Amino acid sequence: MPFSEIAKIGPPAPDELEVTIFGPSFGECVVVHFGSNRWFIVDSCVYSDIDGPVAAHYLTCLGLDLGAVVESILVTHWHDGHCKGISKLVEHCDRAAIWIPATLTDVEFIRFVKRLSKNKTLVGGVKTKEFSAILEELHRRKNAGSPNFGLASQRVTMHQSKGAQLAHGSDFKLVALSPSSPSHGDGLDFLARVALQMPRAKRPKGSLGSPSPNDISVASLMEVGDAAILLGADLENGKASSGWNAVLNANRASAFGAKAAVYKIPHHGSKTAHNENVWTDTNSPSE
Amino acid sequence: MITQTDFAEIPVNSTGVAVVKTTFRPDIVRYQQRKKVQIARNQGENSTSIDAESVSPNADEPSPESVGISRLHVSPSRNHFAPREITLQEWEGRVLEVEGRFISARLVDITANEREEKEEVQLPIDDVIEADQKLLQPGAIFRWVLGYSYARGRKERFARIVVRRLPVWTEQEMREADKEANELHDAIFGDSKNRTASAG
Repeated sequence: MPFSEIAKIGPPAPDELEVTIFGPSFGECVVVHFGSNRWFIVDSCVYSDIDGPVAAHYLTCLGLDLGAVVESILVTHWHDGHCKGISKLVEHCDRAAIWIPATLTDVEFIRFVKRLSKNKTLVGGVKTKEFSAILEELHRRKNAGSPNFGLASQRVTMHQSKGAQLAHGSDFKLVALSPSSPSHGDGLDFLARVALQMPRAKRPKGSLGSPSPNDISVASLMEVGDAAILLGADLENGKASSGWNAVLNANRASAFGAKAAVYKIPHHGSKTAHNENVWTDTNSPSE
Repeated sequence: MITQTDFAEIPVNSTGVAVVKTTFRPDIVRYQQRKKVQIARNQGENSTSIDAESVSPNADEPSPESVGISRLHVSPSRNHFAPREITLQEWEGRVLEVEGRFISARLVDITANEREEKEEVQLPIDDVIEADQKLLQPGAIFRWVLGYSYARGRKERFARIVVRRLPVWTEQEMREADKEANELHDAIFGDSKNRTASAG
């Protein structure tokens, strides 16, 4: 549907659940209405013919005030395709809680970001601008006395509302399925990769390769009453004990919740993110 | 009054025709410089002289007959093979990975004055000049240029990939970055051993 048509359709009814997935050739963003004109956003991307982040454009087209209706923004991981425009988005949505993977708050990762940001030699810049802006926003909120942010890891409930507060009458819950832990497993592996690629004095500047943040990507399960939607982020399989395998192991030990009827496939449909057991263990059989 | 000006030295000619240039004769340049110094000195001492040209810096030295510009002949062989190039498209590329004889990379369109990566491509390593091929690794930055070159009256298309040699990180940059990181981390999250969710 062209963006010009969105305004004609208008926002969803208060008792409607709406999940909108944006995916230009590069990037991804999910915008969810969970009832009663209450919204959350997962990641951010931009379109070449649209000014600013697509989520802000979409909600504005619907005639909504972002500052009033968006309650949470989840940044699933540190990748350009999922962070583009996120700093503008959090600026617009000043009431929304910001959720980021817990591992990205480690001081070693922040050093990595700050060191990279000293490289001014590239036209395309280094890939730290959006994440640096998020950190600055967290700092601003902390200073303002409203530290409205959270650190996501497995089984952390990022948002919930009682059915009585929503027009459709069903309870709503958004739970993180990954990363497994900020202090060991995938989190520690990620920080080890960061250490290997840490810029150091007397070494040539460069963009550096990305330290593969997909293993600490925040996959999540959204439950509205009996319905569930699995949002796969960019989580990949990794080792037997990491990525999707860690999610499956945790789910077998104690189920996260209802099986999902809708699955936003992970990592843009790549082979490395496909796990057959995710379809059987955490999704409902297709009807 | 004669003033000395900068002069372009390198001729560019794609047709191979000999180029004749002009330049200043060194003795005339030296004469003018001495003269300027003398004029400045006179003016600095409340001189009554009002005509700078009439001031001779050295009474024994006759004024030159010419203004000091003479022809400089440049050998045609220096210009014969210099091609003229027209760039049609230029990107800055960042190598994502190297797979066999191909690299995958993300591109910033320099020609369109972009500042963001918006395209992703696979390029054959053979398009990279041989001396640069060993520099190809994830994170390497290169320029990819497409265009036409004109040499000896012939027009040819070219595609060139040159890996950039970037400057090194400095100790000072590292110190500054670490200080900023520690301060920011402590300001937001406090003690790194006590990281918990602060809101929901």
